[in-house]
Amino acid sequence: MSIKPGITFKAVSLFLLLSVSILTAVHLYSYLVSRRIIVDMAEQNSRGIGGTIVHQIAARITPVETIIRNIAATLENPDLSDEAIFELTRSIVARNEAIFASAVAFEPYAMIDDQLYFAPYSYRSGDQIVTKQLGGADYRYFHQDWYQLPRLLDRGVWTEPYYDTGGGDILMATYAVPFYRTHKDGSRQPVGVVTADISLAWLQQLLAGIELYDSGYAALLSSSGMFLYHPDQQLVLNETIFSLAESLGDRELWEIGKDAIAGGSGFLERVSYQNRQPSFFYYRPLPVGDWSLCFLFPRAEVLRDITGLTRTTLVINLLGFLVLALAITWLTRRLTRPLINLSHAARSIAGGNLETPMPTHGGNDELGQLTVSFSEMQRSLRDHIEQLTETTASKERIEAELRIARNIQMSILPKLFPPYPERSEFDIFASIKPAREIGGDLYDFFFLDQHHFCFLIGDVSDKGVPAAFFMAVTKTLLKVVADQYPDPGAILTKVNNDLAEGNESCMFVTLFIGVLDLRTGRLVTGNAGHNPPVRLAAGTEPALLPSPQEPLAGAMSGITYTSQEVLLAPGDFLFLYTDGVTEAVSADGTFYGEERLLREISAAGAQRAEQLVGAVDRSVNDFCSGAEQFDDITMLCLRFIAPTDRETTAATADENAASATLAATGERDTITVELRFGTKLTALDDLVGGLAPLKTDGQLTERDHYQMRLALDELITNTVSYGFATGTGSGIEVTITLWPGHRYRIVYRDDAPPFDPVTVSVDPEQRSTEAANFGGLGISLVTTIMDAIDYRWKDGHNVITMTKNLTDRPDNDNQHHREMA
Amino acid sequence: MKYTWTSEADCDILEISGNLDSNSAPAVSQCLDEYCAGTPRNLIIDLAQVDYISSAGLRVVIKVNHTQTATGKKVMLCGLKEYVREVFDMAGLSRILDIRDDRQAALA
Repeated sequence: MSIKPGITFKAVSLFLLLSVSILTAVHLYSYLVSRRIIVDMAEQNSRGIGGTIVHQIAARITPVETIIRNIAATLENPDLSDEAIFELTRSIVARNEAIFASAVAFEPYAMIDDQLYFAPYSYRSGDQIVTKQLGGADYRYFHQDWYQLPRLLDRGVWTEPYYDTGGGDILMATYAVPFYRTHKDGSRQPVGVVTADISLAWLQQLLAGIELYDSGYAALLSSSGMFLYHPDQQLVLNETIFSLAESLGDRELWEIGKDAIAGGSGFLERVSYQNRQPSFFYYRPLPVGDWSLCFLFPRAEVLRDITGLTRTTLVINLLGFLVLALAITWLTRRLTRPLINLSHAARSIAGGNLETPMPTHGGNDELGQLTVSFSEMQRSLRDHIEQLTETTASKERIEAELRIARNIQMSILPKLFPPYPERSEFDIFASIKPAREIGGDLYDFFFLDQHHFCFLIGDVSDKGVPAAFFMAVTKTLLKVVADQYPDPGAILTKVNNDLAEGNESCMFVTLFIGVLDLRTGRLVTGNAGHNPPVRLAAGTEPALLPSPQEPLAGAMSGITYTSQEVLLAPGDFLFLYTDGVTEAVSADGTFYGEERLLREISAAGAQRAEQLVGAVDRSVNDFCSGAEQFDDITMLCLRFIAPTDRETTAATADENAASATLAATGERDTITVELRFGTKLTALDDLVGGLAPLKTDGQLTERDHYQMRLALDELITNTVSYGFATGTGSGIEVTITLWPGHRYRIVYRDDAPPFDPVTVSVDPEQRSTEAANFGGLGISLVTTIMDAIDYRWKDGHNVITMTKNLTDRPDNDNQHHREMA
Repeated sequence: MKYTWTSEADCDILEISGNLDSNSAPAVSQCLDEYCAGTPRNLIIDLAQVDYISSAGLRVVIKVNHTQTATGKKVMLCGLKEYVREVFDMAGLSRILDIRDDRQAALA
């Protein structure tokens, strides 16, 4: 995504937002102020027009009022005759064009003693002036408004206007003034009322002619609120402002009417009752008859100019904003274009193309500096990567050399198993699993002579190439020294001195050396600070081999190491390991530990050295799954199967007289039984007879005898049923060697086709369901009974060598219980 | 080796005496096959007189147990001598087979 629209968009938005806000505020303010001024002007205008109208009305009305008042003064003269008064009314009408009619009405009996009514009345009829007497039973004028009101109020009064039905629907109004005469007792007494009727048609024309904006109009209210003039003729003399307010439910109008007839004036904004438009309303009193003048004109017309102005301004502003937005867009694009070019270049560099040309940006502004900085960064990156490439190449070379060194180091350890297939006395297996970093673990094994087998394990206390060298030196030295010194203690003493001499780098090695006499099982060991090996004797729990606390080798010369002795029984395992095993770390940081190792060895149920190493190796692997291996993991396992048998001993007697003598002394206490069997199952009956003496002699307990018979029974059955059944083979030879009270060994030979019973293993749980597959059951019994069993194919014979510690021998009381469990 | 049949109210009893090895097992096996082919009931095999048993003997027992169980009948062993019993233990069969101390326990 490009950064260009981002900046432009933001700039345009910000500028426009600010401009619009400011201009809106200014416009709003100016609109409100202008509006107020215009409304004020409208009010002034209303007042001006109102004033003019008042003047015009006054100019028409005031002379009439003056005339009538003067007549009233004249009538106070008591000497006026009837005729004079008749003539007076006539002359008032005749002389004043504005006056339509005039009357002089007297109090009852006031003019003529016996005449109730006296009221001469003159009025226009066409071009004539008609004079007549008012009053009579049908027109008792004393009770008319025009007569009563002036007398009561003691002043001139305008009556409510009315339509003159006789004179052609002309709106008329009457002005009446009371007049007085002095009584005989000197008091002033009202004696009558003089009136003048005038037409209001001119007033209506005057009001209709008023122009208030486009559709504004004027209205006239009487003192009782009656409409005297309104553009709507329906209202005139039919409705009052109060009845209108009532029918509209307009409380405000009602209040206005009340204020108006009380002589008030006002200017306010209200909604027109006719078209619901917001309008201005102005009212003021007239100097005639307590009447009121009202104006009403729409607000829109008043404000038309300012509204138009506002609209125009808005359009101008919008156009202005558009121009402004275009200008800002253009400007920001112009400013950000170099930035975008630079960004493209940077992305190209980030993508790995270090040769991307930098955009040229003239000028020394911030962008110019940024471009220069980028160019420098690009150059530095290029240099750095070149340097890194060289370094990596040399590091790879070193690593390759280290790998080769590692391979060489590993290749000096014996890796071929089984190493001595011809030897039936023992079985050995070793494994080393190197850590990523070069370590210094070592192991080795070799024959010192025909009967003495030396095996060792060690761990140089450091890592890296120096440790590898030290390990190679140690191994070579051990091989040479072991041949020349009689026992492991002496070997360690010599090796320690040799290593310590010239050990500039102060490296140490822990070592365990064992030398096993294959004829007797006697094992001599020496230990220089190494983890004690585990011994697994048949029928017991595995235990650490007791070991003296002697220092590791190579640190200090002059140390004398001692040797220890232990007798291995046939079937015993000896498990040697380095601390790579016990200090293997799991993913959650715990150590594998000695206890776990002993548990695993116990649970492995191994029959061979390789099986035991494999079991421990799997266990360590599972334990460490996911965690890095820090140290070499090295294991060596030796299983003592059986002492060297006599034939071998005899055959080699000439070669080594000392060994032969030892063997001879060892066999003094043994009992040997040799049996031969044919190829039929009748061999089983022969077996019963052949073993009988061992039981009757008391050399075997009933249980051991039973188990020996059962083991041989199963092997013979197996050989006869499966081996000889194919037609080849001539028989079976069994040699039983018994160490009374301790153990026995059976060597079972047949010349049937090769068959290794040791590899046959059947899970007991499967037997009940797999009724047809019983093949492994017998062999399984054999391996259960025997402590150690070994198979070889030798000289055309199957040779099975088995050893068993006697169940009831004194040092193994728990044997019976274990098997029962 | 010899064997004898007896019948109780709700079961049959096979009493074997002598050695039960590869030589003698086929005869017992055949005898039991015939029994199962007929109208078998719950079966007690009395081994009180058996001095020796090998895997061949175990197979006979496993087989008849398998056949009987398939038809909902029981097989019980009784009267095993100490070392004979140990062979069953070694083969891991003690947990699978119904082994009683003596004939009374089996009939109970």
